[in-house]
Amino acid sequence: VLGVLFTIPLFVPVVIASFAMITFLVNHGLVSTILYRLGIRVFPALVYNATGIVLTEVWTTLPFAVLILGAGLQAVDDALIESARDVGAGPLCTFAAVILPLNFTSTMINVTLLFIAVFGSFTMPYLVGGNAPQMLGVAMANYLIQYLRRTESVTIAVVAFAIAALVGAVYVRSVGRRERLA
Amino acid sequence: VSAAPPAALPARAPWYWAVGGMRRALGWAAFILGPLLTLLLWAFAGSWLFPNLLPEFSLRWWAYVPGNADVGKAIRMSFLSAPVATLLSAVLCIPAAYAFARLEFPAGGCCCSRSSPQTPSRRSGCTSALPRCSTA
Repeated sequence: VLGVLFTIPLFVPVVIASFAMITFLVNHGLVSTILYRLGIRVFPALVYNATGIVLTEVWTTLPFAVLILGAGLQAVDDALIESARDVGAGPLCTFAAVILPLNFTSTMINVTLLFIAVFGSFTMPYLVGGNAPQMLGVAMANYLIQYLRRTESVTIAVVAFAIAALVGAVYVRSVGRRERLA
Repeated sequence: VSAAPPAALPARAPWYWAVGGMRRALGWAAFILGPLLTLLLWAFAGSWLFPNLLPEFSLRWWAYVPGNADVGKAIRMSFLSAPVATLLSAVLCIPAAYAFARLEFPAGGCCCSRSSPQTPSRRSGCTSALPRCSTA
């Protein structure tokens, strides 16, 4: 049941997810209403700033991460984890010494692909983000459409692409590593 | 929340189920379903002022949306472009995917590294085209 729960954001378009997150987390939204009813009158600003962007990005990228990492984690042998526990490793140590190395490829795929997706996202930071420090996608669109400074926006685009391509190279290398080990 | 796993795990449960607890599961459920639930409530709201836990329910907007010509046009546009894009992507990508999966050619991504570095690659030009793939 929980597995199905984690795939739900996959079927929600980003625009709708952004609106849902805004209505959920604004200072007159559902969360703050419930906290207000519980007697907590101080509510931090959770949307229209970096916090909102991070929360909504986590929400939208959750299914991808769960599917990729879950597939990788299911391949980890239970016996290895139990033996690590038998020799006295705590949960954290087991994770660092056994699970993470065995799951390295899917972790790298996850990190790189999600980084590129979040790095280049536009809709979500445009709707949930604030006015002053904007993410690269929104800044690019502003330079192109609002300020009518085409060259600046194109230069930003090239810089963004260079960073994404660098991460993409890491992705290609990790995928190649997996196929070599397979 | 301390993540100490119980000493004896149920035989069938995957190991990572023991890491999270019921409380954590409920937290995730609230985080994932909460925004969608809020949106659902707003769709049926006539007005929803701040300290109220529930809105004043109304179907006003459900009568408004189907009657709006712009919404109809937008829906038609979406139903036109989505299947066409999906079909086009399938038509273009199935041959490409077939080529990557079945045929052997130098630029096939990093797929050429399947053979071990010691054994000479059966695929011609593979090691020369992508020298990095065959090392290590």
